[in-house]
Amino acid sequence: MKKIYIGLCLSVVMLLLFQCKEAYDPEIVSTDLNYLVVEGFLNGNGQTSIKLSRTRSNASTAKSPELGAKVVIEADNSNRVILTEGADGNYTTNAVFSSALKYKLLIHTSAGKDYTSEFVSLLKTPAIDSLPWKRVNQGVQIYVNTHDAENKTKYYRWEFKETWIIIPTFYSSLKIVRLDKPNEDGLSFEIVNRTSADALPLACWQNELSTNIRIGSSSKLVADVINLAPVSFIPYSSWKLDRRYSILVKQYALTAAGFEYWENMKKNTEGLGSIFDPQPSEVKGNLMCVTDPNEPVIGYFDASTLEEKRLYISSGQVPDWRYRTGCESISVKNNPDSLQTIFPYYIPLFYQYDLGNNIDRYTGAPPECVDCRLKGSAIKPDFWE
Amino acid sequence: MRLPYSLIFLSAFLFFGLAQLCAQDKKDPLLSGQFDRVKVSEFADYLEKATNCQIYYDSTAFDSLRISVTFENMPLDAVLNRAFLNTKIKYAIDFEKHVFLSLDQELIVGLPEGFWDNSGIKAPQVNEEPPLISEFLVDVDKSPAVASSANKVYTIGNRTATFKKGNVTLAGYIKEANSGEPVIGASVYIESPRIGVSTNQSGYYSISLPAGRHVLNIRFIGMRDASRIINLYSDGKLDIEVINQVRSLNEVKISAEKIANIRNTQMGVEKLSMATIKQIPTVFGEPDILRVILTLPGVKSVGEASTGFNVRGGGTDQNLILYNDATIYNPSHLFGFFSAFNSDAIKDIELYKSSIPAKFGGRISSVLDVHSREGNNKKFAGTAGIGLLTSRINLEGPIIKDRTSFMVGARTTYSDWLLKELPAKSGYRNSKAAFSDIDMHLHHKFDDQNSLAITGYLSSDRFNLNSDTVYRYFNTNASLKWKHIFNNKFNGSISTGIDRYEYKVNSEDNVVNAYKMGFDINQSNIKTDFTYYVNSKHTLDFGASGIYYRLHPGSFVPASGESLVSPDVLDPEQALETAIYLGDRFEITPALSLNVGIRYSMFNSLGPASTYTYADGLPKNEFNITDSVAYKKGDVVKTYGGPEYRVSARYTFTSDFSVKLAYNTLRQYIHMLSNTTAIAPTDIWKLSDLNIKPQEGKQVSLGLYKNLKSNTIETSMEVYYKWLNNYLDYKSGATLILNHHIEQDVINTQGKAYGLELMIKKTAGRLNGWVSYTYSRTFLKMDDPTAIQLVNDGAYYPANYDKPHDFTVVGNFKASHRFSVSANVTYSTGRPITLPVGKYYYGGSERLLYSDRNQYRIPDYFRTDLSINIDGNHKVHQWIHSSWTLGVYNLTGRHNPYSTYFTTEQGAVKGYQLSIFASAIPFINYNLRF
Repeated sequence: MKKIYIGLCLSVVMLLLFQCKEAYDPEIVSTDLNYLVVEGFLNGNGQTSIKLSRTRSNASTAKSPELGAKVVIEADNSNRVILTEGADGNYTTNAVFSSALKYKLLIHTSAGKDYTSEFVSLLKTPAIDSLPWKRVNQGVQIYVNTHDAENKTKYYRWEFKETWIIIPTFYSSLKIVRLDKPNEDGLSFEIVNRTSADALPLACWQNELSTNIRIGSSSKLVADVINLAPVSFIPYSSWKLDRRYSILVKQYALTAAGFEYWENMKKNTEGLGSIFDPQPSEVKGNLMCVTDPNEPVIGYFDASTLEEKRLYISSGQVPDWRYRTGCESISVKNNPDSLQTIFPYYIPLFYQYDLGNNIDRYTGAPPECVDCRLKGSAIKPDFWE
Repeated sequence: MRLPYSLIFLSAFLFFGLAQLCAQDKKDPLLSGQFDRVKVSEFADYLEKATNCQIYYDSTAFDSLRISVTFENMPLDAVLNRAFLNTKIKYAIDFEKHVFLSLDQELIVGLPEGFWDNSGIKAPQVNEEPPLISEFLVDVDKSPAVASSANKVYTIGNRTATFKKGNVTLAGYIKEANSGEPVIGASVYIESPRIGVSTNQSGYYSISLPAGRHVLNIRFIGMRDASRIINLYSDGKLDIEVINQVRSLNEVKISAEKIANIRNTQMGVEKLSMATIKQIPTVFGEPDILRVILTLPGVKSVGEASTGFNVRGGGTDQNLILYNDATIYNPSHLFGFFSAFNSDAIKDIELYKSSIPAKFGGRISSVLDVHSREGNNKKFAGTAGIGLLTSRINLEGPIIKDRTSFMVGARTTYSDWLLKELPAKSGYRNSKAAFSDIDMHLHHKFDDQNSLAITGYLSSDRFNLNSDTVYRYFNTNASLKWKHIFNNKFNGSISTGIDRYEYKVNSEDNVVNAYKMGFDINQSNIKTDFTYYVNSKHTLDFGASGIYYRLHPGSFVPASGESLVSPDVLDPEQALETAIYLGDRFEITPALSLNVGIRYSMFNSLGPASTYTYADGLPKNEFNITDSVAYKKGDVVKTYGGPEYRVSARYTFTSDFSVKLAYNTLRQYIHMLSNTTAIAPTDIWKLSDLNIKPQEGKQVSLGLYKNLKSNTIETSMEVYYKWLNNYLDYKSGATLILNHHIEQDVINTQGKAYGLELMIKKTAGRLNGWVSYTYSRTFLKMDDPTAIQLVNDGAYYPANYDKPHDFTVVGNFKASHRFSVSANVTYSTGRPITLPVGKYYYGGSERLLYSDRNQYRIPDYFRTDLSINIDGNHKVHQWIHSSWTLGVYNLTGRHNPYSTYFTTEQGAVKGYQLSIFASAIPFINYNLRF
């Protein structure tokens, strides 16, 4: 009886806490919302890039860059910088901006509408102090520490780019050469030695950009200090930390209004759906349509310098990290029937001789375990150390 | 079934044709009728109506007998003669025309002739002088009689030879015989002429009757019908003890009086007894008054994990929740899964949805008045319940028998260890959740005129959800109430108390950011209520109240020496809310009665305070500040005030059909600030001040009430229209916590709500319960010309709890005295939500563009719950009586979505719906009573 009782209790508690979460795909009347989206900031110490796009319906999968617009940054002394249009609605300039001035963004679209932002000051972003990291229960958490000795910044945003090295599980000295017509054994391929020219790379690098909004504020503290603000999380036994991992964290200073804009966007789209979550609501940014003041414009135009810092973590630094590649090699007899069971789908690794010095067996492995270019780039990044 | 119709027709004919009083008749009325195999009781009812003669018989002895008889223009005795011919039934008629039915042997109703000695005169003349069958009376001049016998004749007042002319007042308490607990809302009346009153909160009644002999009837569901024969000479007292009809031993079962729904002038009042509440299945088997309230028409909530409720389109902060006059700010435990009230301590609850009596004020939507029991003043007793997640115990007993009683109750959870047992991947292993509450009640009766009740209440909650942030909140209440009876016509009470609600949040893992956050609201209140029974037509209620608020809107301080958190403590707010009221319950004619009340409330926002003033007609923001004013302690920052009207009228067409009309206005000076859809523990309250106006509510309602089957089936239809003014909504992205100038982030909102509520309720019998259907709409509109960005551009949008259709069935079937089955079926339209209507790419991910607020709905809600109550044996003299409650919540396991949300995962937008109780949840509870 007691066992049943406890079992029942558990099931009840689990039911209580396992609030059921299911996919939800509501039918929404497709509305023709086609608003301008302005993303980017005025970079006080590098290339400024403004990306223009349009909102789309939920079902749409196509990208919708805003092409052919005229994008101008105007200072409060009326000096103007015209941005040059690149691919995919990116408008860039390498102009240098003075931190003494205020700037606004002006956009004239090909449809003939004019947009403008409010004037913004060029904020000086403090340097990142350190990127501490910690092995936590379910992975590795990377944090950022920073401070502003002048107590002026208060609001921060971070983006990051992760890079990690991929070492193939197997080394291959052989390759498959496909034949135009089957040979005398009935095989449509043959296995030959690799030359140094077509040797497979010994390492590749993969990148990932941050997708979530990372912001932090010290507005409630006596000093402008950000301590252990979480930026990136590597789930337990992720392949990112199989060998060596690197992260470049970019730090931007924000105004209070800009912070509020990002915070609301984060709440709207990254909420965990807990029962205490606030309702989604739209917040206006600092951009508006001059031609039609009622037309919403998405985005917030800010100006700041950019600070970066890089961190490396090797798998040896993280005890108890087991990335399972799932890679296994298979060895087959050197006869056409056996060879055909795995080749040409596998990449041949090596062969073995029998006592009579004839090739007795071939060993092969799935391509993704041998050729790291299937996952990343074989070109070593400049920064990699 | 064809018979009753002919019977109704006939009796109606007879009633109008022969509407003469039996006892005063020189000649007996002549009767006509045709009956085929009717019960003795039906036949007797007919005769009583037709002749106005009282017919006495033992209903159980006559149960199996049927009568078939036809008669035309015959006097009563001939009819009886014919009807009982060839049966075992004998009849006798006494000199007062009382009819006595008996089996086998005729009852002797008069004294043998010649008994009155030598004079040879016959029995004394009846109509000139009252009968003095009072040789064995208790003298009741000084201490009121405790009338417990229906057969005795009680003499009230100074006995005189004859009854004087005019009205005299009889007053006293109606009490339950076993526990001595007062019976609230019992109807006390005489039949002819029809005069009746109900007992008040203390079980006290005061009735103005013509002097003379009366049969005083006491009717109350759950109690045996009682009557007392009284000879009323002058003003006097009569306490009456009534006996529980039901199996329970000391548990008082109370529910609305049988015909209260028809006769009460108030409308939109729901009264529920603990017995009813205990029958309704709840999620963990623990009786929960707030869950039961949600089954009533016109009461809704946002979803399952919310204890806040919405009455007729009002906000969750617009309900005044009183527990023995103490204000409870957060009525929920454990994320709203449990209500903060210990069901064992509760006697009954009343929910006022429409006619809010003038004595209540301060909230604009409803009043939920929860009363605890007084405790058993006769013997020591207790109850306990053991559930899967909670346990509770309640002890009560006399300190001085019949004078002082106490009751102590406590509840706690033991869910922590269970949470620890959860597998790590559930993500809740590091969570903790616990709550407890303690109830303390002391009731002392000094004498017949004075009694004192002391209530203490403490509830606390603590939880953290897999993070180091710990949330705690507390309700603390203490109240003292002294009741005094000045005389039969005038009584009153004075009560005082303190109420406190606070929450605390702390997070200490990150030493640099370690903080403690807190909020609290304190109120001290004093209140007097008086009732003056002017005469049988007028009853006056009047009184005054004062509440002093002191509120700490928020503090954010470092939790340790290493923390860099800069202390941010908002200035406390203080205010005084006072009110006086006067109400008259005016019975113009027995059919038409009027309840008129006026309440004048005043609110003074008090210093010390420093506030900004803003330019008129411009948005309240930092650029439009015109001045900053500092007020000293005791300065009045701003005064608001105004009359509130409470009017309702009732017209009774027949004894089982009435129409009521009500108009109410209310004002509210305290506002809850919340941007979540349900009540969250971190919601804060704000007092009205220079820049925040009081909320105002106004409601008109009309209702039709019809009872069927001798008042065992009540049907009602109510329609209402309601206006809300100066309700507070927030700007998108507003921060509500630790906001030094909240007026810059709130927007005045108007609301309108209307609806139709239908209800059929069966109050008696083995199968009882109710079926209700509600159609209601609630719309809000930001109506602030100075605000810049309005939700939905200032157009009306549906409120979060706008669920147009709502259908509820609550049923209980008593299979035997020990076994009953309850079921609860609820259907409602899904609540409105805001959905993404488009998307865009920003910050490395797809982002969502949301629709106007609340333009879509989540799928409809449907749930069925079932529970079975099994009682132990009913031997009266055993030490412990036990019972089991087992059942299943959400029997069909339907995944009712509570909310939907959209999130960016790996750069793509995904939609989810969250269901709180997404499968059938079994529960079991063990209850004992000693």
